[in-house]
Amino acid sequence: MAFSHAILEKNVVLLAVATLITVAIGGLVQIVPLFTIEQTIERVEGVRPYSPLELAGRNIYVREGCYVCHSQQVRPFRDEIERYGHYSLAAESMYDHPFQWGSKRNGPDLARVGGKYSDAWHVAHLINPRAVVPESIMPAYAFMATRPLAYADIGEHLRTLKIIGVPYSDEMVANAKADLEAQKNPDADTGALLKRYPKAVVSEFAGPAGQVTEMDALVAYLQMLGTLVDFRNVKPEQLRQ
Amino acid sequence: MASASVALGGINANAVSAHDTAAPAYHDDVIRAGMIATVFWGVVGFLMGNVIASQLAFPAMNLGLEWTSFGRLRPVHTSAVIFAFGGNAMIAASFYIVQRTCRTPLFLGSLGAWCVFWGYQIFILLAASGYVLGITSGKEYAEPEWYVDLWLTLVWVLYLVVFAGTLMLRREPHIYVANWFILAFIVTVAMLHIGNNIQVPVSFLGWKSYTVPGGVQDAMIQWWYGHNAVGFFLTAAFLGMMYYFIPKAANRPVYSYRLSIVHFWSLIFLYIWAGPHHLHYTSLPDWAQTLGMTFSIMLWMPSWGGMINGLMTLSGAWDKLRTDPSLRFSVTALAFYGMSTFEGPMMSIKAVNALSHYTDWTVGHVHSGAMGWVGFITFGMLYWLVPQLWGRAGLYSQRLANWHFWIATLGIVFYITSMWVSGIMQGLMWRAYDEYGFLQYSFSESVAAMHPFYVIRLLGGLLYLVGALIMAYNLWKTVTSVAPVRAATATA
Amino acid sequence: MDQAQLMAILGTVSTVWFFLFFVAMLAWVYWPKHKARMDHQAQIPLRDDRI
Repeated sequence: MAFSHAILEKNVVLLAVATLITVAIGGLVQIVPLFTIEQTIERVEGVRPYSPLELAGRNIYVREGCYVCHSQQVRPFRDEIERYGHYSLAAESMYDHPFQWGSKRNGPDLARVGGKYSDAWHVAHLINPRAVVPESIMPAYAFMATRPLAYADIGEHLRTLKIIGVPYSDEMVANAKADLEAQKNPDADTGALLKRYPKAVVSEFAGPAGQVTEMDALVAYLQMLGTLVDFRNVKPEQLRQ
Repeated sequence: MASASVALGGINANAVSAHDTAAPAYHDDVIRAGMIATVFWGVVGFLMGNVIASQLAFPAMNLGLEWTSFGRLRPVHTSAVIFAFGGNAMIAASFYIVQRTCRTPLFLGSLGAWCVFWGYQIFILLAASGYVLGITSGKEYAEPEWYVDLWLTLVWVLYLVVFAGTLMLRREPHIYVANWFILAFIVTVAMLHIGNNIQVPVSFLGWKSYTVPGGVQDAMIQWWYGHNAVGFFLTAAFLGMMYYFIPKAANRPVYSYRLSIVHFWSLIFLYIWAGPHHLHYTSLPDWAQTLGMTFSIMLWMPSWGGMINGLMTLSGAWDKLRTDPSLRFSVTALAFYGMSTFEGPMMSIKAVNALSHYTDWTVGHVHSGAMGWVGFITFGMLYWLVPQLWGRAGLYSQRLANWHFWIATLGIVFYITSMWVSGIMQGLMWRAYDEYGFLQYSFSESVAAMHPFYVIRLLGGLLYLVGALIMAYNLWKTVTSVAPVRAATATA
Repeated sequence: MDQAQLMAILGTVSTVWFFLFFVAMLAWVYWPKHKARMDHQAQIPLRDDRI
């Protein structure tokens, strides 16, 4: 026989290389096409990079490990669509680094929680979940209400994301800090902010304008989740993958 | 730590006398340290599991502090059991197996092995301290941030060099199959670790980084990693352990060496494709989901082939199960392996997954594999290897080992049955409609309904922890108060 | 040839390659002449107590 398995049994390097080839191909065949096949991301309108305040809030969401109990991925089933809203599109998380789809629902899905509750509800719920939902088993996050948000380097965060392919413009990076503060201040001139980040919610969120807290950022993030795509204007062929 | 080093120091004299002093000795000090680290991190990991299980049953256990919230402690639990307990067990076992089956001391000597050992402990401490402080990359089972990832890469490459170097220096013409599984584990974990942690730090002076792939691509890469962390870290590696220690403890060769080779190639070929079953019905394109499901179902065959191969090794020697706690744990581990590798392919079927995904059923499935397979095969190794390494005639107490076995088994049964019931109940409540065509339950009603099962699960976890503490005591007494075997009997 | 076609061909080639590799491996492992050698290898852990 031309093929001799005995060589593999005696040669460490060949055994390691044969193993590596065997395990590498599966990953390549499944992962590479996701980058090259254009239909992987549906062609819907409205998805934009996160505003600086939303991004800061998202980083707090990641930091606290919210994804271990909350998914951000509505599946295309009747009950999930009725409970949470339209099923999730790949396009809606295309600027998520890292993705936060989650794998377990100790709490409800949050992919479309934006706009479902008031800012005040979110603040009260995060400070003491059981004061609002008696059955809740969520930890309390009261410390966020008083802790100032650290955002001196928010421009650097946008710049880093720009390097890895998120379409932030130089203008967005340069104005990151001002945009972050403007989104928290309804009295500010927010025209430029809303032009850069359409549909961004401008609000006092968790407290009076002035100091920006971690709670402000997190609520700003929660309030925009799932709100960017207007499904009334989406045609079925746009959803094809 | 002081007591551990005293134990290590005290051991050396006995260990040398237990060997043929004329031949170059194996490097066993680092393996003894690995035994201690395995037991220590096992207890820590199980304890953390109980803490977070209690938080789901009684939210006051979050203590209202940011450092002790479920979201921050859950990665501490998963990393402690997978990487600290499982990783230390595997590194120590691989150093033991590769020296014996190659009949040669470790490549790079004692120093190389100690660098791997301490480098790995530093990785664990860096990772866990970060989680508590909120330093996380936000990807399940790959939470360490970029600087910890870089450190682990260095340690892992050194581990590969030591292991593969020892294989190259072997005095046995063939490479025993256990080493194939371990080599595949080291090589594949290196590939997965690097592939899933391509990140750009915001600043080289800060901890925060962003993963380069995003959204659906990041999701696919994450579960390619996540599923194969199970496949290669918790399965292939521990199968290597099984293919050495079961024949050793039973004093019989493996049932079919030919089957073990077929097992190896089919397992590593099929496992790597199964990742997308974690993303059924998500925004991942359907073709990838279908591939994941197909390979997951095929995976059932090699898994059961390996289980049968391990179990049949004992045919004709079943009586040893009554007297040997090591074999009893190992064989029960294979039974749990068979159970969870049947359950896994079933849950990867899309129609089943539609119900089971996002529920406690998944949690129960993972724990039947982790507690039943990984935990028990490791306990089996510890009960056999600790007396060997310290040159003791046997265990301090068979009785205590039997208590451990029954308490831990009962704990697993409580755990997985409560999670089956709560998982299926959750899934059914979420999709239930009332007579008017409305969703019957609010989400919070489904949370409230889980409470009794979360209490039962906590009880199961506590039993498992108590069992591990009994083992720790038993092994400690084995080392400190069982008389050493004399050189003549050890080498006879 | 675009990338999608290339990926499809690569998928086919890898499937065929693994099928052939697997069949050859099976044949080699279960070739009757190799049984004695395999049984010998299975004994490795049982005769490793001394260097």
